[in-house]
Amino acid sequence: MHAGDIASLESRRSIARQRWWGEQTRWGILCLLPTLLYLLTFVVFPVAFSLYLSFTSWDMVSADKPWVGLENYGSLLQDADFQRALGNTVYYSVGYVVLVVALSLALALLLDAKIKGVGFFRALYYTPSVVSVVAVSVVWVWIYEPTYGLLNAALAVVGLTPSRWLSDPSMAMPGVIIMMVWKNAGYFMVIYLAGLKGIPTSLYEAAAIDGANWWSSFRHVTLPLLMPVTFFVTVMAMINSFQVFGPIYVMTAGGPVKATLVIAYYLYQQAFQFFRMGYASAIAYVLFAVILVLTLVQTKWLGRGVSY
Amino acid sequence: MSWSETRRIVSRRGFLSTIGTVAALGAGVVLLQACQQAAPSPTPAPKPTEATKLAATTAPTTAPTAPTAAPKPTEALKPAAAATPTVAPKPAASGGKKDANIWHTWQVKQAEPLVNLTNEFNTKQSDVNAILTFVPSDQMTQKIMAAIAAGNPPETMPGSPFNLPAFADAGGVKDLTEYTKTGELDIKDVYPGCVNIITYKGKVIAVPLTVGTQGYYMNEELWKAAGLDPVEKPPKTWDDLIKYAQALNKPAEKQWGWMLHNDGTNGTSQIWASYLMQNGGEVLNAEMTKATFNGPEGVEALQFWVDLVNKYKVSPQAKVAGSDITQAYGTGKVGFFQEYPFYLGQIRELKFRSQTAPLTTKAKPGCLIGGWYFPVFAKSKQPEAGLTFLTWMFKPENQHRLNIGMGNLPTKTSTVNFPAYQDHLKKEPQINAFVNQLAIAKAWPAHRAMPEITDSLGQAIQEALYMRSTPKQALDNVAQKTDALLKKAQ
Repeated sequence: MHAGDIASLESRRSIARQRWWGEQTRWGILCLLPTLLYLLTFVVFPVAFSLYLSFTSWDMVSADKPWVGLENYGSLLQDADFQRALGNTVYYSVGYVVLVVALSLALALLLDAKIKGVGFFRALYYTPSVVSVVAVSVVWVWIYEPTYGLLNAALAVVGLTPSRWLSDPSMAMPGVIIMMVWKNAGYFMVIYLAGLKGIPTSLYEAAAIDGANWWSSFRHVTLPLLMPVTFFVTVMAMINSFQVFGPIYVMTAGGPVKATLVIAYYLYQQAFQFFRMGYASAIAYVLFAVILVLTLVQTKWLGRGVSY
Repeated sequence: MSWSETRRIVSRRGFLSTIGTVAALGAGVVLLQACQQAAPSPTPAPKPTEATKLAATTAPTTAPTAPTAAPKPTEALKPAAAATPTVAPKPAASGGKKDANIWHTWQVKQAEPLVNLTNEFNTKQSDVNAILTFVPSDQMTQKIMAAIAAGNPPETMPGSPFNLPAFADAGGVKDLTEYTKTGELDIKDVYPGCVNIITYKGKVIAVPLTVGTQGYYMNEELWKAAGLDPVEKPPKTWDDLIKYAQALNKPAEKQWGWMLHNDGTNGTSQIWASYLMQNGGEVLNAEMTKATFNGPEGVEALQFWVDLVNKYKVSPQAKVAGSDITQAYGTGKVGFFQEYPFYLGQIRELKFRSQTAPLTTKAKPGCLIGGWYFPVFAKSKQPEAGLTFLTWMFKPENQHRLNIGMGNLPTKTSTVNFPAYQDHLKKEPQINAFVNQLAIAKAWPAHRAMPEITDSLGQAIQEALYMRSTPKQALDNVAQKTDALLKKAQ
């Protein structure tokens, strides 16, 4: 290589460096700095700090944070309550995600029609999702009350056997799932409605010309074209379901007989009732890993055919 | 360089400089403020308006990830002030007074006596300015833990028998033993149960201001309708409890004879522990190295509860929390239940008349004592000011007013015997059932593992009541876990 070529190359590199660390870049970073500082302080640092805590036996009060290595993670493997909480969380998640996706899609299909008062009904079904989960949980505790509750009174009117609902270990989790599906279906319904509006009417017209009935149109046009929305709704619902805490805290406190003990509530107990912050941090990271793996699996499977 | 180019460059630079500087300064201020609050927390301090709406709005929907920041006194003072018609203490020191920050969890009516007495304290002396800060009860532990860890706790707050040992082990509370020797803090006539709670590892770590024993609340109308007399013949023995509950139980009318606490939390174990004590049982051995609640006395006490639910069917096999019980009692469909004295104020509002009675006796009288005990935080800015406030409040002439207003009980005989409190007992004789048990009431063992032990015990009691395991199996399982916890804590 000639000396001139080398000089030219150096010159080009210098220009590239100037472009990379030029005035605009520096100003850009400066403008981003407030947000970066915020994220570093309130997101990155706590996340990293809790990872560190998961290798300690910190009690939240002492200045010392004794390093215990992988002991917390090892204890989790032998912790029957944690395993039960994990199983219950999966139970809740499957029940919740399936039902909330189905119900929100059904509501969206019903409210996509051009009927009188459709705006009112959309608002009506959306309303529960904007109400505090604590408020609705308290109300549903009374609805489920075995002796004086509204639901059993209604069942008695139509001649059905009343249930003990939240007092019955086999019915408590379904009770929480039903309440949360009722609460959140309206939110996902709105997302589905937006998805439905994005499907070109020409496709339905083409399907109709080909002799497709409502079911065929739904199966071969609506459902495939809603796949990106379904993917989003499923992932969001799944992530939320693995973090469920509010209704468990208010309605069941993890009972009866640990039938509704979920990971997030177990984590809360360990951290803030029993002051075992290291152990709770380990639980949080296991929860994070579970959600990450499930999301990746969903991305791989569900994400395949989401684009048209 | 042309004028237009100069204008463009200056304009752009000027604009970016201004925005960048303002944004950086803003971020710096936020960061400094967060550091000043100093809790290891990603979430900001609650706004006062949010605090007052706690029950309806502030519980998280997903898992909390870290403790929330310490509340700002001046902000959090507002809910307490708004909740009461009285003027709240001034939030800042005035006239050279030292600030004593007091966090508390009492709302509206219940906080009124504390607010009134604090106002009086602030006007009657010139050394200390007491500042009340309301903190929602379910956030108190997180907040105080965060504040202690950050080295910025209030001077004092109401602690429970559960969290005092944890505070003390971390060196978080001031040793008050010397003050008891000098007489500045006189605990000579404090009831033994309270002394056990405020004494940890040989040191006095808190001032007992307001406590509660347990008693029976009885629906007088239902009792009379069943041919029973709650005033002359209240239940004295376990057999009485079964007999009376059966007489009051009317399944066809959806009426329960007795409603047992059964939510599987430490609330359940608190109520059950009184029967363990009545049967001569103890929670832990004297050295606090081994569980003893699974001995024959404990098994028999739990079998008694299991029989009430499953054999005699006088109490529902249901997840029943304390609030469920009091609400059900309010409907007039519950014969009796067991609670602390705070419910006395509410029974006066009901449509039917209620009576109270002390707990039963078996091998001996037995009752668990609860209550609020005020430690002085060692790392607070003015611990002496906090102690000044507490010793003033501890005087019989002030303590009796605090307890009458709050519906709780005094902690020492000199306050119970104080003429104005005796007058109160004559006016409100239903309190006597609770006051009369102060001398025999016992506390949970003072051990930092007790929150987890009592919670596990509550779950074991629930498992037995749901017939998922026998009383012996349920208690043995928890005993095994308890022994491991105690060993780990040594």
